[in-house]
Parts: sequence; structure tokens; C-alpha cells
Amino acid sequence: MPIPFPLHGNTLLVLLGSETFSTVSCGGRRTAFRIGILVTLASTAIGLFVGSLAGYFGRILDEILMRVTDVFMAIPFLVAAMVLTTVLGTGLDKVMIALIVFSWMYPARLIRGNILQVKEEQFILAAKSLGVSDTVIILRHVLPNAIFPVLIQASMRMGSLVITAAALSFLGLGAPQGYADWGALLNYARNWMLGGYGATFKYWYMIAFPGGAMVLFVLAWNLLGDALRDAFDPRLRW
Amino acid sequence: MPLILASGGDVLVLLEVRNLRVYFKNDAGQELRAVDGVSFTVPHGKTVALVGESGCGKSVTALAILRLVEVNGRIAGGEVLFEGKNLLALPEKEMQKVRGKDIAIIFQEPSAALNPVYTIGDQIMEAILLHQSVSREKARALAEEMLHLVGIPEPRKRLNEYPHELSGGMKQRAMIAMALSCRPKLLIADEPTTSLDVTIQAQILALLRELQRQIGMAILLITHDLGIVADMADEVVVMYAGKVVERGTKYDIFKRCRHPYTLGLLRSVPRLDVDEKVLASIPGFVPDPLHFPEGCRFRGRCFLEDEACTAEPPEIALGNGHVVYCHHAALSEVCHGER
Repeated sequence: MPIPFPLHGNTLLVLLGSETFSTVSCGGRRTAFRIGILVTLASTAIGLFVGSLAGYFGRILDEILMRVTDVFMAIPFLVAAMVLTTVLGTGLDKVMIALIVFSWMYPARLIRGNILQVKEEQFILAAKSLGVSDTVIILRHVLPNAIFPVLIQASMRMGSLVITAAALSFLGLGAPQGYADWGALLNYARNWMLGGYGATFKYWYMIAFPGGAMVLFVLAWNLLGDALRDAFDPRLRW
Repeated sequence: MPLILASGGDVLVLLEVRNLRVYFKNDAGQELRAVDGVSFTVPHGKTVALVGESGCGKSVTALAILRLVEVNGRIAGGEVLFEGKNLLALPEKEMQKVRGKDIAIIFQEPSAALNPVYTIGDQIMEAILLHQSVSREKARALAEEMLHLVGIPEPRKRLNEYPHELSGGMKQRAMIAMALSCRPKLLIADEPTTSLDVTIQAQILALLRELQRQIGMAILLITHDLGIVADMADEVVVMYAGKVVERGTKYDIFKRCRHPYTLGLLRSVPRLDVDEKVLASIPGFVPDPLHFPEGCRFRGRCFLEDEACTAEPPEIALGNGHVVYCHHAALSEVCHGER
């Protein structure tokens, strides 16, 4: 395991030039983005599919799909993800699969609830009375009226998914040692956190940079989610 | 001109509803007979008014004609013959072709019946593109023409506006444009003016009459406003508690009605020419659909009630299509003097 390169002086130049900083800001962010976007896209897509079917067609299909969703929700998320990653083997792609498998239920539930509300609206009946088919009604009339909360939730989830991925990496289940990933960096920093005798907090930046980067990343997605809510919320528009 | 009613093979008949039954299930699993054996006909190009109090099954009847009854309800029996073919027996795919193209419907609340996320133009074009094989440009031109037809000023500009940018009356006009864009043979108007104020109401009714003349469609007008019935209808079907109690031409219903319920309805309309201190009303309440009385359902509120009423009321034809379902149709004629 390499010894972290100590930070000399305290000029900004040194800070920006340091290996840790560039690893954190470039590599770590890229990993975070990849995990966040892929996992959010995949889980939202699955959630939308399951939730729309359950919400629109209702009855027995709704019952089956929602009970399956309940089963997935009943398992503690981190534990489930850990078990699945252990089964599949370590690696970022395995972490992503685990995250997708255990996070599609949230958009599914949200979209189902919204669809149940929208499908009672009279314009859905009006569309049916014009002879529009079920598929077109779901895609053109129900989803556009029900999807905005899901998009907002997705952007918020983007941040928390990255934290969870980092947690898995921190536990040694995600990115391999030396890979530019915030969780893996934190895991590495764990050993150097206190700095040892006579050098208290000498390597403070080992934890401050990845940690700070993660805080900013999550904050950014949350702010984006808020902005989307302001832009899309029908109650604010009409 | 006398009209011919309820004759199956008649060329004049566009829509014939025969013994239609729509039952709903409540949460306790009990069956509610919202529409229980309703029959009437709509002739080509004429206006038939379906009249009754709230909850008597008028709207459910309308939705059942299009086979759009909610999930907890089912069409339990009967026939809906449109140009001779039974709509209740059509496969869903065929039914989708009938909706919007042959039979269109407009609803009470225009703001709720338009999708808030699409422009007026998009929504009218959707109906046109669905039933006519035309290009998008042509559909757009047709949509503009429809908006012009229903009297919306600056139709080209309005095409790109969202429902929330239009007033209530404008929205109802847009709804009518959407419903009529494929020139249906039958328009079902479910309380089309209830949510509008009186001046707009008069405009919309005049518009419907004008469009009926131009397109030659029949209208099934659902309302509880007898003023609108007098204004618009050729024939009237009076419903009470899920059943038809009387039907006939407008003249027969307003001047020679024979069912005590119809009489009660007519009496409870405020009149300017009579000095009334208290507005007449029918005593009692509409029965709960779970506990409809046996026999005549108007039993308990009727001034002519006796033991005979516990039996199912007979159908009494009075000629010229005037039909009444009452044991005492002969007696009730005498009561007209009071009016």
C-alpha cells in the first residue's frame, strides 16, 4: 500500500497540484458520475415500467407487482447490496448492478401513486372517448402528467446513490484499491487519518478532499432537484 | 312532424338502447343497480334529452353506450345498437374506431377534460390523426378550421395555447371542436353547460344547435335543467333511480306527461307567471341504490301510491312514441288540472 505523498507548504498551487486533489476532482468525479447516471437511469427505467403497468392496469397485476416491490423494499438496502456484491464479486460494475437491483422500487412506487391519481382525471376519459388506445394513453396522456415527481426524485437519488456506492467501496466491495473512486480513496485514507505519533492530522487532506467532493456532489444534485421541482411542479405552473 | 320511436328496423333510428343494465360493486361487495333496464332510441339528426336528478344513472348510461364504465362497474346486460350493430358485442379494437369517429362525447367540466400538458391544437390533431389518414399539416389545418367553426377568434394563435390560457367558455368550445373534428353521427353531451354561466350557456347551446344543423348529427343531451330541454330537445327520456319512467316527444312530456315523477319535476321548476311563496318539490329523497323499493321505484314519494305499486310497473304506450311506466297512468292524467 503506497504511503500518501505529504503536502508541503500550504499554497493553493501545491494543493491544486497534489496527486490527491487531482485524483479526487477528476477521477473520483468521473466514477461518481458514471455510477450515479447509469444506476439512476436504469433503476428509473425499470421503476417506470413496473410502476406504470401496476398503476394503469390495476387489479391483479397491480397486486402482484406491488407485492414484489414490497419484498425488495423489506430487505435492508445496504445489507442486500453487500450480499449481492459478495455473490457477484467485487468491482464497480457489480456495485452498479447491486444498486440497480435494490433501488428500482422507489421510482416504481412513486410513479404508481401518481398514475393512480392521473388516471382518474377526466381528460383520460376524454382521450378514451376519442378512441385513443391504452398504450398511447399511458405514453402520451398519463406519463407526462405523472413523471415530473419521478424526475425530481431521480436527481435527488443521484446524490444518495453515489454515497451508497462510496460506502460499498469503503467497505472494500466496490472499486479496487488504487482506483480513482471517492469511497476507495476514503478506505485508503482510513489508515492515515490520524497521521500517527508526532504527525497528528498530517494527512488531513486524504479524508477532507474525497469527503468534501462527495458533499459538494450530493449538494449539487439536491439543488438541481429543487430547481427541477420549481420548474415542473404543476401547482406552481397552473 | 310526428317521430317514430322504438322500432328496431326503422331507418330513422341511429341509436337504440335496449334493456341496458349497468351494475357497480361497492367495497363491501354489494351490487348497485345504477342502470337497470333502460331502453330508448335516438333518431338520425335529432336531439334526445336524458333527464333526471343527480345519481339517477344518466351519465352512467352515456358512458355505457361508449363502453367506458369505470373498473368497478360492469355492463350486466342489454344491447346498444348503433346503426344496427351491437356495440356491446364489438371487440375492443373495433370499439376504439367507433369512439370519436361515430360517437363523440363532451363533458361537464371542460377544464378537467382537456389535458393540461398539451396545446389545444395538439389535442384536436390527435383526434383527427387517429381517425383520418391525413398528414400532420393537413390535420393542423383541419384543427384550425374546427376552432373557427366553433367560434374561437384567432384560431391559428389558439392552436398553440395551453388549456389554462383559455376561459371556461373557450375551453368548452375547444372541447366541442375536438369532439366534432371527425364529424360524428352522434354527439353525447353530458351536462355540457352546467359549469358555465348563463350567457355562455346560451352561446354554447346555440353553437351546438348550429353545428347540429351543419354536420347533421344527432345529440344525446344529458341534463337536469328542464329549461335546456325545452330549448334543445326533440324527444325526452325521463329517468328515475336507474330506470326510464317516461319517454316521448318534448310536447308530450311538457304538456301531457303521465308519470307522477315527471309531473313533480315539471312542478318544481320556478315560474314567473305564478306567485309562489314556496317552490314546489317532490317529498322525500332519492332512494339509496342499495335499497331501491320493490316494484315501482318511485314508491314512497308518489302521491298516487297504493298496493298495486309493489308490482313492477307496466309499460303503457300512449301513441306517437309516448310511453309511461306507471300503474296509475290513467289516473295521473286527471292531476294535470292542478298544474
